[in-house]
Amino acid sequence: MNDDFQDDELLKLLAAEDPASRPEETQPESPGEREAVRARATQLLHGDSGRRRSIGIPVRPRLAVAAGLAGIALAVAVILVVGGSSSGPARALAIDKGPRWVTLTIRDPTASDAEMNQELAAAGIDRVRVRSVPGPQKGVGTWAGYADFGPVCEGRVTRFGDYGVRIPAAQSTPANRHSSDSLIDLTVPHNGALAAEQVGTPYSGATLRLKADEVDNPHYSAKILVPIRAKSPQDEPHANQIGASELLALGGVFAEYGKAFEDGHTACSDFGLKPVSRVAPPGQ
Amino acid sequence: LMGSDGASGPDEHAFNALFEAHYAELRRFVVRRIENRAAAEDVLAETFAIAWRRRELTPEPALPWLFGICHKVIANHRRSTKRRLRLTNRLAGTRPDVGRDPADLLAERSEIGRALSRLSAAQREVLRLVAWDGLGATEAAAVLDCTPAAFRVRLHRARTELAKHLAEAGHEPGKATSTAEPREGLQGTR
Repeated sequence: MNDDFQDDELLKLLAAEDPASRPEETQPESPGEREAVRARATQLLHGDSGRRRSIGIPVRPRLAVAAGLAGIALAVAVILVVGGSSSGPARALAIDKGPRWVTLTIRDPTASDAEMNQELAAAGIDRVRVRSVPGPQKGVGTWAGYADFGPVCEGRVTRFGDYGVRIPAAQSTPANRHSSDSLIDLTVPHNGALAAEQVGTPYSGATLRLKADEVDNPHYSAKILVPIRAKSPQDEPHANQIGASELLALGGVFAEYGKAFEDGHTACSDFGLKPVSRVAPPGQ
Repeated sequence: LMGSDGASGPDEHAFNALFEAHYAELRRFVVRRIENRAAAEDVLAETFAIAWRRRELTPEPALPWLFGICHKVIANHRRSTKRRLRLTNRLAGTRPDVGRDPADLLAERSEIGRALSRLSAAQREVLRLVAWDGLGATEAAAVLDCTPAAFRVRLHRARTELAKHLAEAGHEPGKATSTAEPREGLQGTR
């Protein structure tokens, strides 16, 4: 303990309970852990290089070798797929389903939502879908964030999502609070100030990482991922919103919710949900 | 990333130096607050990434500053975890394992752990910074982004509350000397 407090018996008593001094409880550092954390930190920095100033760290040699091997494996996979499958290779997204993480990287910023969703479905991912939004040019091809999506009963109101869409720069405005009678507003701010680091979001640049045990797990909400695409003159006024028709188009569990919206069957009882403690007043 | 040419060598070296110099201390800081290992690794990585982006602001010593960044990253982690929890389908009956605060584990083991678990999260954090992270008032104040005087007040209140809960449980921790007015300027962490 710091000398400031060395005479304090109570704090000394507390200090003796420090979990970090009990390896049986906190798990000591494991082999490879430090390298994994370093690689993850570097990856976070890599992901930002497109919209931040260069910070001057080269790819570590080990990562470069791994990337090279991954590239070779990908090339082989592409050759095999192109040669032997009618579904064609995944080109819009790079989907890496690891034991702990599902990592999704945008490879083709011009690909349509339908293409990306087709590739997700082909990868066996059913409760994650893409809905792109127009945004600033410098953000095109990067993830703006994602929206958790699933029914939860609060008071007597069924809400379909979080109280703020997880777009870092988006404020928790009424427009971003969505319930059975409102839309999810995914408007990307015009200044494009997507500062993931300030909110601790687990995505960066073109790469987004989801916990593997939460993907396609019915105990967790489904997710709508939000890549930024280029603006188009054909964009409709509500291009940034997701409503019942968009949910129906996404299919699967999303379509179930969209149907509920359309039919007005959004009471808690319609989903067999029991009320839990209310976090926000209904209608907000 | 960042240029892959040799010109960026010194920066890579500097990043590795920052990482290696503080990884062990920062890891202990995190595991005192997050039980889930994968989440702890995420928090560590994000902390180093943020620290590197803001490296021009690095004070001397750097550790309290890094703790301050980490403190905010952990707070964000907890907020996002809570958001996910709210979205859990209540029909499923089970709740996802989001990991407990290690301080809660103490409640199952010791009287002081039970007393600690009855404090607010903010009061726990004040005591943790001092008792577990080994920070002095000035360094701990930097972590919480407050003045040393404000920190001393918070510490005094948290400590008083802890002692009260212990006393209610019939435990008198010796002649506990209040250190709400600690000496200044002592450096270092464990």
